Amino acid sequence: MKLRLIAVLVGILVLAAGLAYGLPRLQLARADRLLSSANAHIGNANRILSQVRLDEMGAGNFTSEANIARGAEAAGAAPPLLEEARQETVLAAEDARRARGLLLLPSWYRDYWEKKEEVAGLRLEQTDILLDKSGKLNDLYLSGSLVFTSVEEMDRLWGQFESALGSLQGDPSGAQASLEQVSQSMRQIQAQLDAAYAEQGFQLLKDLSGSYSGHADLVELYVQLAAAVALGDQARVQQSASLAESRELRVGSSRDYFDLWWRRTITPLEDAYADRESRQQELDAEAALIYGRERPE
Amino acid sequence: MRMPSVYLYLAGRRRFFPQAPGRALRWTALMALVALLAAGGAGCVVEAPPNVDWATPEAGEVTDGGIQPVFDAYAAALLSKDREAFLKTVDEADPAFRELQARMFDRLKEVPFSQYRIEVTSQSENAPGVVIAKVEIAFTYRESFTELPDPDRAAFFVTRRDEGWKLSGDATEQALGKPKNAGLEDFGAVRTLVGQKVIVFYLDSQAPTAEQIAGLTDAAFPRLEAAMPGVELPKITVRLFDSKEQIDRVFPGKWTEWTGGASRQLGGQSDQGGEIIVDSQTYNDVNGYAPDYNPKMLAHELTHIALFPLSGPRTPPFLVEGLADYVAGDQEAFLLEQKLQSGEAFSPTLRDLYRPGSFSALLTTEAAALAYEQSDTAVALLESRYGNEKVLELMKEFKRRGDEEIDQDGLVDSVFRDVLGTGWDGFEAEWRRFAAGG
Repeated sequence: MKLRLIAVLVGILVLAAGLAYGLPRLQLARADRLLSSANAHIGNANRILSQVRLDEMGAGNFTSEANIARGAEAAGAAPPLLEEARQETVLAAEDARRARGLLLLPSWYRDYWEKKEEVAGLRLEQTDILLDKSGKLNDLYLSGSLVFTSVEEMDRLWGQFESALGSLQGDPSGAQASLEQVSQSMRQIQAQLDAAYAEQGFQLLKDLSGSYSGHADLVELYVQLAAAVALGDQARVQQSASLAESRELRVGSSRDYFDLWWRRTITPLEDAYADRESRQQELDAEAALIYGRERPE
Repeated sequence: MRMPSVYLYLAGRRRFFPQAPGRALRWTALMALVALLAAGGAGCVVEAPPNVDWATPEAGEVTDGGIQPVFDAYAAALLSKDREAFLKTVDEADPAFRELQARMFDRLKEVPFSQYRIEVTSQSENAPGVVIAKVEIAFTYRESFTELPDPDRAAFFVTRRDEGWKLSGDATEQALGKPKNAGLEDFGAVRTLVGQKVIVFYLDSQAPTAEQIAGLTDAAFPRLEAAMPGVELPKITVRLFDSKEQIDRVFPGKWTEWTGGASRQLGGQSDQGGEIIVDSQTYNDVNGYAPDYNPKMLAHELTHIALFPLSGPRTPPFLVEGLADYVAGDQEAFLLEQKLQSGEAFSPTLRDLYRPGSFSALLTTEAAALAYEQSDTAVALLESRYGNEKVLELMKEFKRRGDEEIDQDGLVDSVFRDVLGTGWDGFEAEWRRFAAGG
């Protein structure tokens, strides 16, 4: 009996010693396997993300019909790739969560996993931001050609307007005719923008239509001014000039509306994306420091 | 013999104990084996995986098809006066355009640019391998205003060659609806004369006039500083053209009523400043029959530049013109006095002249003369009755309140009342008495 008790006790002690030594090392091994797995998922996410043509979806690319077409294609192709990258990141985050749940890991490794889990979380948020951005850009690109050409055309018409103003005193009748043509062209483009807005409901089209309307109103005031100059009516000229000058102060450029739309709609997303990127880099650097200290190469 | 299962023994359950001492030993050995396996297995870990950064890789740079770099190189070469680098940006396939560009570069060699920026704002394909690039061009000069002015716009054909994009032609009229504005360099090599307070750009034949202008503009500063205490200006640039025709090519339609000189604001920010434009033909003609005129003209235009930061879109034009004439010492008002004394109606009235744009709508010489005389007398009254600090306070208040949702009549009345203690009607009545010689 006594022998049995001793034997059992010894066995328990040996078992306990073995497990006390072995279990943490088993969990360490498990954590290492999870790290390899998570690294692989992150690598897959990076590989998929590299196929998303982010550089073709920037404001700086809204500068030509060809670039807009490429941007539209990139924005259209992005969502399925982003979903796939997102899934890989979810798997990496799960590995991180499981690793953090290994209670016998050394504290440095738990700290490491905590940071990695946070990076994975930030990456998921970034992917969601990119999905939101590509959705909004798809709305823009649906009307991209009209938006671009209306901004370009305003440049050309405004140049003609300035040329006509230049001849106002010397040839008021000629200036009046040129200004009437400019106003007519502006109203035509305004109508195109209105029609597109009625079909698509894209706010920027409405803003651009408003800009064209404002510019056409202004040009029409200068038509009246030119008529007054042609008649030599000083009082009427003063009145028309004052009205036109006041109106001119309130007219914004069409390019401004595009820039405003971008600043309101896309820039906050780009800022949020960049904030998360910078926090990820900080966390990665901290994690690398911990890992390098405990596991020097 | 039946092999026992392996259990972790947590409680003293006797039924799991073997009945014989040999079994106890076997159980002990088994548990030790398990422990050894656990320890041993744990010892057989694979090599630790590397740390890998998980942060999202940075996205690529936004590209514009390589157009911007050629304009950057063009501007950098103008700044550094590197002819070879400059011509590398210009296509060799169009000798006429290349010749024009080379000539422009040579004519600008002496100009002391401190910044030169050309920014592509849009591009569109004109033909395979050829785009039309719309650009904004802005530059500053050493010792003068530091902020880039509001840019001039132009457009260029840009062609893709084996060695990269090259400027291949002027597309301004096609893209922007009007020809590219000329510059002083279109008429000859630009020379530079640096005075104490002024930099004069002129063409070869105008050196004596340039010297005179530099001296007279420098001499106007004390009167300016007396009327506007605390005014600080860097060196003001003066562009001296040969004739009004040249000025019309550079600034088409801007100055139809030409008085020999004008000032031009370079942007809405105070550090963008302004410049003076003079044509030497009118300048020298006037010198012959009215030698007092040019010093006053230069002082007038210099004052405009000093007033640019203080003026807003709703500042009464008569205040600005009147103050400029006040510094110039120009306050005669014979025509106005006669009109007021006779009681005849005239246009524009002083009330007209507080509306934006009123000075750009003067159809006749008489209208222009009356406009200036009214402005001069109004400011003379303000200076003598209220002092230069109050006049400057009026200017600042109009600028500050320029965005208010109030019509011009209401704004003027309110600002005059707040700063001077009298509304517009009261001031106008006082001015009529003053200007009529009363």
